[in-house]
Amino acid sequence: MKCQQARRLMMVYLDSELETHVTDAVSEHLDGCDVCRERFDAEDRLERRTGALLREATMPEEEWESLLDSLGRPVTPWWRWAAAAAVLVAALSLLLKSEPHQDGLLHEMMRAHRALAMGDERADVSAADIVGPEREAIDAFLEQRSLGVLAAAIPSTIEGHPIELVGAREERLLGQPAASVQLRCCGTPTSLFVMRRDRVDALPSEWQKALQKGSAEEDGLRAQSLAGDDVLVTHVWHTGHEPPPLAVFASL
Amino acid sequence: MTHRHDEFTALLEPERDGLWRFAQRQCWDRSAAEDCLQDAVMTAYRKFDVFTPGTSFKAWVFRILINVILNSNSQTRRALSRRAGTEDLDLVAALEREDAYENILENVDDYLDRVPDSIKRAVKSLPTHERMVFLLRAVEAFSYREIAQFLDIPMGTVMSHLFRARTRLRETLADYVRETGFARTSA
Repeated sequence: MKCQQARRLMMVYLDSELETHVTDAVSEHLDGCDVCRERFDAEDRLERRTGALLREATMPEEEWESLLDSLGRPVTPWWRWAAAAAVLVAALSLLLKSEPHQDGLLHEMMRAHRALAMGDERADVSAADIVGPEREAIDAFLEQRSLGVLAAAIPSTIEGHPIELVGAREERLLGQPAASVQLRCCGTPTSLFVMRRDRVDALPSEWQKALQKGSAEEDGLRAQSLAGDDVLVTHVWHTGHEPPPLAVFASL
Repeated sequence: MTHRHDEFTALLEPERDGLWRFAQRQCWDRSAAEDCLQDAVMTAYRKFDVFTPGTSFKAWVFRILINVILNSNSQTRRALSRRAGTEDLDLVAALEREDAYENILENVDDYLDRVPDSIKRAVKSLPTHERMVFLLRAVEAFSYREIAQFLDIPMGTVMSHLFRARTRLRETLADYVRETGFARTSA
């Protein structure tokens, strides 16, 4: 066996996934080739140490106890469920009466855009929270959260509009996790928000009112949403500058 | 507690850290990971009667957890099923322009002793589907065949995702070395 053949098989050999006769042929080559043996040893060491480092994290004892509790929980009599449901309904109606967010998710996104892009002094935004502006870092950030619908889909020019990436950031909108990507379209701040559908569905229906319309306007800002199977993507921009349509930014 | 409950928890106990770690690294946030793990363990408990004694409990319960995670993330499921390319799985050739990586290979232990977090960050930055395959192999030590069964994809696709994950991971480590000047300080 030649060096090139051996190294093509290297990781599969180190995973012990080759057929016996191929394993023997690679081993024979390694016995006579110091260069390949050193490379194999180093890759093997890196892989093993990586595995060991990643195995260091352990489940906190209280989470394990709580998991065991959930297995051993006795069946609750129906009247207790009924009583609990009554308390929950009462608490929810109180919450909905006092909650100021009934104007919906789109307005919440416009508020977040104002805080991020326009330097709203009430906003708690730290530069350390922002990923980017490198395209790769933003792509990785979104991919990591399974929100890659925008990844690589934002070129530097769209329909003649120059697009400049500013950064990405984790958001909490009406208590639910989301991500935002800030960019400048022809120099005008624009935000794209991505939220998983199950998180949107978890919001009380009252809070989704504006969302059902798909667009909203407030104080010189406009928000428009596109819903895919798994995610909801919303575009927030200043009404003074009309950017390219949202469908160009997001592949849903 | 019943005999069934005791038997189940005795089998689950050795797998608790692995399941927890996997859920934490594959889910959106900590509370989603807790929900997925609890959902998977409750499902396993309900179906415990169909578990075949003498077979791998670890593989059985991981398969359930993976299903729970993928059911809430169809994007990752689609990415996993994407047909494998026919690329040459030559890691050395794929990294031949990464001089900084050569430096890591010459000092693997030294590098990992000094910057253990760089590996964790690099794994975190992998696309979700590649991270899933990588963790199942490199951390949980499942075979290619087991991973293919868990994810319901061909073994060639497992190998392709694993190869890409490993290449990407090493490129990220090389970037880190270039950024931090590890190469200049290790000697």
